[in-house]
Amino acid sequence: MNNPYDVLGISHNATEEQVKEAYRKLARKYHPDNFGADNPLSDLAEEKMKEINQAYDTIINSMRGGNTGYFNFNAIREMINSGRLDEAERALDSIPQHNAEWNFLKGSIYHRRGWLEQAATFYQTAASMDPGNAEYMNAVNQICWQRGGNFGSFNQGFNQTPYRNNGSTGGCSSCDLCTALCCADTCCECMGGDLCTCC
Amino acid sequence: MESERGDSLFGYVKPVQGQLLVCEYEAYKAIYCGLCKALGKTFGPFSRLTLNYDFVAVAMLHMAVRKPKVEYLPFRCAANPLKKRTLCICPESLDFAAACAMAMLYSKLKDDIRDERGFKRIGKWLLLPLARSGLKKAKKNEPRMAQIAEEIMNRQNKIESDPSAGIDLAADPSASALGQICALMSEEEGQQAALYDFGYMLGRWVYLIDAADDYEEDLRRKRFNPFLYLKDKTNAERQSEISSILNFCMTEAAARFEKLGLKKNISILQNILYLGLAAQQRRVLSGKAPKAG
Repeated sequence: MNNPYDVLGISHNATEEQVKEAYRKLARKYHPDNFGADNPLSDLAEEKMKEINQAYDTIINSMRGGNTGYFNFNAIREMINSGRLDEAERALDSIPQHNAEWNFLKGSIYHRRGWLEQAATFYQTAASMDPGNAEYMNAVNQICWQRGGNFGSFNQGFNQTPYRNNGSTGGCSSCDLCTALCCADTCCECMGGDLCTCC
Repeated sequence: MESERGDSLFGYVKPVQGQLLVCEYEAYKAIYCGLCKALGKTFGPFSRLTLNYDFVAVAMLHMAVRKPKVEYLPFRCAANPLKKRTLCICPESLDFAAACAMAMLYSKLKDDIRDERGFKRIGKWLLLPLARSGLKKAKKNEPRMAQIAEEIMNRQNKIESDPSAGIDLAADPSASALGQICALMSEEEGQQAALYDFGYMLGRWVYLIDAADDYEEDLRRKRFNPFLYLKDKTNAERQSEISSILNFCMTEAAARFEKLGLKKNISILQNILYLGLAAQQRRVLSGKAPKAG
């Protein structure tokens, strides 16, 4: 489905009056009565008319607080998680109220796409609109963490990299012990002494 | 292989050599030599002069994804016959990286010719026929690759004609080109998407560090640069902002790399991502010490 606001050619913060006005104008233009049955454009006009009606219903319903199912944030989250970013963006763009969650989801889409600077801006807007929300705050903190040049996740609290980080942090193996003993013995012998009398 | 050259001509995506194990260092050098040989074989001896570390990394990533048979042989290089070297034989990955290098060379040259003036421009003009024949051959071997290279050229020109293009938009053509190239490495759909995501972020980083490197010159010559919106800030402020942007991109690339779950060549690739990129950032940003004002 196309963005209903684009279909009607109005901005996202249009009033109900403006929506109705735009609808009336377009409906007059594309009304089937303007096209005879044998006019080749009549099919096209009918198609367009359907789209306009749908867009009008969607916007008016959302303005009156009715849930059309079209503006469902959970469904959009689902889309983002499964990588259907274009679809999610279209659904998101058709939502009139740009609240904190809207900004957060918009940021997530940009983040997945790799548009990191845009993502940061939307995450920050989300967090400033709803400062108590842990999810938005976390996203902002994670970005600060990464902008500081730290790898890994902010929540772990330290700059962890998997590079050469295979568990063995220092320590001294049995091999090291023998080698050290050999070395010490050789050094002693150089100076005339003897550490291990056997060799 | 020459040690640290403070020159972007040879690429930004390279390891910190001092932190490689000797065996990793040897393998890296051998792949470098292998790529040079592969370029010479397919694209003629002059193409070897365009050898660039970035594409050694491409070859290593390809090896890690495809896991082809790799052989190492002793040989003597014509450039320095006195020294014994090791050569990596792995046609699948090295030919892929060579085709990638030539396809990208053409779009880079075209871009440079538009930007440069004077002698440098004439120099680039002389290279153009070489690059053109390289692109043609690349088209035959890897048709998709040449197509990606042409696409990026067209999109980049269009975007750079608008001085207000933001960082994300300006970096998008280069980023998505490397993303698509990385996606070509795998046949499996899930892995392709993960490779695209990683390649996108790495390509974005390369574009941005190149832009950071060229900032002063672009400013002087009034050319497009995505960081020009920072020109009214003090040097210190600008550097810290650029550094933050690059950091974000670099750490994101590393995170996406870990999602690929690769095993082969892993410690060299991780050296590049966790140490090499940061070292390049430091070099580029410190090269322009803050001036008064």
